[in-house]
Amino acid sequence: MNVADTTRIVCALVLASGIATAPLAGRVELGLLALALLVTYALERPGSRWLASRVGPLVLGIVALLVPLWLTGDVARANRLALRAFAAAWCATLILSQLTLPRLAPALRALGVPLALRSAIHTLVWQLEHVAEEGRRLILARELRQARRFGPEVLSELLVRTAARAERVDLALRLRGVHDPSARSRYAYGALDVATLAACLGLGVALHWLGRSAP
Amino acid sequence: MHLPDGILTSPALWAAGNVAGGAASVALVRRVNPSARGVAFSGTLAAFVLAAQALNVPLLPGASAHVIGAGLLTLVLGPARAVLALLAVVVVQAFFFADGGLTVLGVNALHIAVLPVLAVHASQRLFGARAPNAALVLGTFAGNVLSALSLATLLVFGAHVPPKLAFGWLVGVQALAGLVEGALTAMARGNLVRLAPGLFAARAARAQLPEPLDDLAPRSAPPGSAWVWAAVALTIAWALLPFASRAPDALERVVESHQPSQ
Repeated sequence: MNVADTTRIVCALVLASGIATAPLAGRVELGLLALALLVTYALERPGSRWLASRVGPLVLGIVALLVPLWLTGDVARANRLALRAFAAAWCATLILSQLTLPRLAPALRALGVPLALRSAIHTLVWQLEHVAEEGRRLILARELRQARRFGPEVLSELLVRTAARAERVDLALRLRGVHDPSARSRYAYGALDVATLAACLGLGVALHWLGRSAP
Repeated sequence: MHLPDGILTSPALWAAGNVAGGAASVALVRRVNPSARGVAFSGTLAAFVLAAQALNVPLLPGASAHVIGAGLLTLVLGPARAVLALLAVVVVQAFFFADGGLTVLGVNALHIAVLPVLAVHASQRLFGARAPNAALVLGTFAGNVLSALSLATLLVFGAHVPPKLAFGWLVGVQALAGLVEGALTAMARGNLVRLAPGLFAARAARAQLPEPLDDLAPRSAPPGSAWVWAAVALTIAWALLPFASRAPDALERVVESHQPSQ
């Protein structure tokens, strides 16, 4: 589905909110929910490995949270909560599956998220890569010196090194006049964006309306 | 402690979201300058916390927990920046790792970013000067317990989970996790003090780092200085008033010269 990142984020929020707070009492609603799950899968078509890596932990988390309810015998409500949680997360995760980490901060900027939070997210994303890279370098250096490969002191050293590198790179960026690295992208919205948003909104409203009008 | 979507009812979501939103707003306002150089360091620590939170450690049979990281972040960055860094972690987890829901971002922010940071900060303020490690362990433990209590309350009222189960299970596991995390944070602090002592001493850190070249934040002026400067400006203006020209300025001249009626 070729829509703007901002549309993806808003659609995921709208659809997840609609599903997560819907009563889900009747068969029509359940049918509509199943349709939403299938449609989001058909539109995004994520790889099976990606899907397993996201959905596996998600299912485990939901089950762990709802075990107490199942144990106390409130099975029907636990099942309904589990279905709602799974459906909301499934739709949100699939809609956001095409959004990559470096594109999050610019999209949040376009949505009006304050600079302080945006820059924190941007730096976090940028540093994730650096932490991994510095970690590999540190471990390699220790192996070459035949020192112990891993320990608490390695983590502390990794933090200090990565922070020092981040400071250097950040200062270099500022000296070049880059104050807000997330201010690069501009989004062009088309009919598909409007249609996707309208569909998500319509589905959320329909789920609520059906739930409230159910006997 | 990451709650998925669909578990809580709307009122519970709104209540927790508002509290977390309020705290985040305070953090955003209190944070001095979003373009200051400390952002790079906050991001590095947040990336570490994100990686650490991905590791779930089994604590009791059938229950696991992960570190929150509020202790280290609060100690090094201060409460406002720590809340923002943890908020960034929660947002990235929800958007990319399906760890915590989108509609419960407020709830997760409250229990992972706001309450633990406040607890650690309070503990630091009370005991930090005398026994920093003990304050860290106590703050982390209290933060975990406080978050678990709040989450259990929300689950009881917002998802009708039996109180005995919610409080007993959640608070028990998180108390244990808090103790372990507190001890780990104290160890990490010891290592970091040895490797980079400047991190924990604000003055030393300021002495080591040069001032940002493009610090756009307004400098805090002593109270009353604005009035003094206003009085000086008015005096100068009053003194120069007799020398003012009666001729129109450049813009007025241009406007006058382009008026068709004249």
